[in-house]
Amino acid sequence: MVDFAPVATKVGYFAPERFEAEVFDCEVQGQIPRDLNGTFFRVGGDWLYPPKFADDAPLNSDGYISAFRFHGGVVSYKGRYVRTKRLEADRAANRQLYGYYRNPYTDDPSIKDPSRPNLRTVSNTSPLIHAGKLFTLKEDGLPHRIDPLTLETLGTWDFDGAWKSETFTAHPKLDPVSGEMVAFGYEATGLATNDVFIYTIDKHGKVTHEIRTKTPYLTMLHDVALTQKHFIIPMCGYVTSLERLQEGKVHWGWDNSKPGYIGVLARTGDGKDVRWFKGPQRCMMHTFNAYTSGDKIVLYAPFWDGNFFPFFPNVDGSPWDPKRARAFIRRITLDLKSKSDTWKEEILFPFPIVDLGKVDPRYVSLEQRYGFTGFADPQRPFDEARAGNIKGRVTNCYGRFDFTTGKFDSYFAGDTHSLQECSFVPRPGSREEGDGYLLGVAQNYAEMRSEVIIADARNLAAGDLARVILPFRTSAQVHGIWASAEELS
Amino acid sequence: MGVGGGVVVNARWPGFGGASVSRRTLGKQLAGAFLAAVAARAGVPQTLCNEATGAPTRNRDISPQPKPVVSFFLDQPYLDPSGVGEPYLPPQGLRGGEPLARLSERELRHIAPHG
Repeated sequence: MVDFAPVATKVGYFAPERFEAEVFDCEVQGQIPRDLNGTFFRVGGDWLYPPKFADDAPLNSDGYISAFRFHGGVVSYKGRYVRTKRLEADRAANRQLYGYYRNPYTDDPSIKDPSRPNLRTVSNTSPLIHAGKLFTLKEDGLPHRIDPLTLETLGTWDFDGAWKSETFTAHPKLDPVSGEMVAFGYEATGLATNDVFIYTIDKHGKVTHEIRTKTPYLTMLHDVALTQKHFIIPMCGYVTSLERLQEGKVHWGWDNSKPGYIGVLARTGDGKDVRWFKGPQRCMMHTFNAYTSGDKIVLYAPFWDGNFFPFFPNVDGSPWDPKRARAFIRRITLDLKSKSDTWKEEILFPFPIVDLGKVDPRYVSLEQRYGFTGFADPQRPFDEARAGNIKGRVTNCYGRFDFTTGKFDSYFAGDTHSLQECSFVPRPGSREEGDGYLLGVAQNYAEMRSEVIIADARNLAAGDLARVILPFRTSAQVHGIWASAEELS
Repeated sequence: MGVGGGVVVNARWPGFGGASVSRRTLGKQLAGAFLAAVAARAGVPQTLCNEATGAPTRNRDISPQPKPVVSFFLDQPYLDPSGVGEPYLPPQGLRGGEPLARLSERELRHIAPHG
């Protein structure tokens, strides 16, 4: 029997969705721009069965991909679970067989196999389109290939056997100049190993270069950055070990004693070339972008001060500290000519933001100016009677942040809404950075539904151009991407 | 633009707010989570809360511990085992059609003539 009642966090708006859906010709408020032709793919998690452990990380929920397809001003929706091995095993058993987030030692004996941790991936983090193929990603397993029209899962993908890491990042980088993808896997040779394999894959999907290296300590490598010359590896303070996993704990703990490291290596080099810069502790989770300028690398990133995941406990036993769970937009400059092995860090905006940031995809790896991300503006109204006592705690705004002037423009979603990660859509025919649309899903807590907001990225303060209304809650998104009709054809 | 010098992400809160139906509901939901957390501290495998509630005799001798609380961070509820996070209190009747509750009998019958 399925019973989510004991899981205290799966209540009300946040109860699992547990169904697959298709809505043809969604309700729309406003006018969908006619030149918006393509698909907004989103990947997130939705528990089909309740977690085995009530305090498990939400990152362990089953992968779910959804698609809003835009054509001629009409939008249709589709949502499907990613048919991982794990989901199929759970469905066959009619219960949750898998234990804590990325800890196979806590799994049901019927499927337990710590030697193959990538078989238990839920593939719930990011969508990716490269070389005409659509994938769902999670950093503990291989990509799952998805049919872009039906969202049917077609199986895992190892690039015709050329991908040797057991894992594949949720944040590969796409070079808009060459069409190459640079991707990596960490814990590449098994559970609790500090091996990192980095691959360059050409625009046709063929692996052309491999780099194998190691990190100074075993940690989560969630996101990286790419320039035209360099591959940048920020590390954060999450730690794990085989002992920790065999003790039955969630994969990561936060170690306050670990310094920050940022690795730099040439895209065409090998693992021996990596140079590790060392600096103050930061939780370096996501990046905006980076570029190489002469002997310097400039990295824009929304790094956190400290542990921002309340479900990954501090290893010293101290309680999670919300005061350190704040992310700021930072400019980090790495001087390759300097003998100093540290970096210069500047906070560009004085208020915290959500670290799920995007840039114009045509400027990834190149010098750019604008970043887009959500933030909580406590000055905006919030209807607590209709949406809960979370005023000031919800992401109610998107911002366009000008990294060169310090100016920003903001969009407000509404007084019962919170916003998930935005995606930037270049305006067809325009080459100007930041000229396009901002898309994202707003969760309307009062009406128990999800709404796709569409705003002019150059004038966010003007509000919606249009909203696409779903008559239900769509599953929580981690990351999303826009794919033009041409990319999918 | 009204963004100030910082957002209170999750202010410290000594306990629940005023008594209400929501509080009772939340309390019920938290009971299982509390037992699971106690079980974890006692080294008892922390399986689903309803399984944990099936082993009360093993946990009775545990000294009082902080009461876990469902708080809210990054647009999601989370279970705070330290019990110091500000509780998340969803609006009443959220899953029961709160928008319908504002309608008059006439409006409601217009939408759902058969009840």
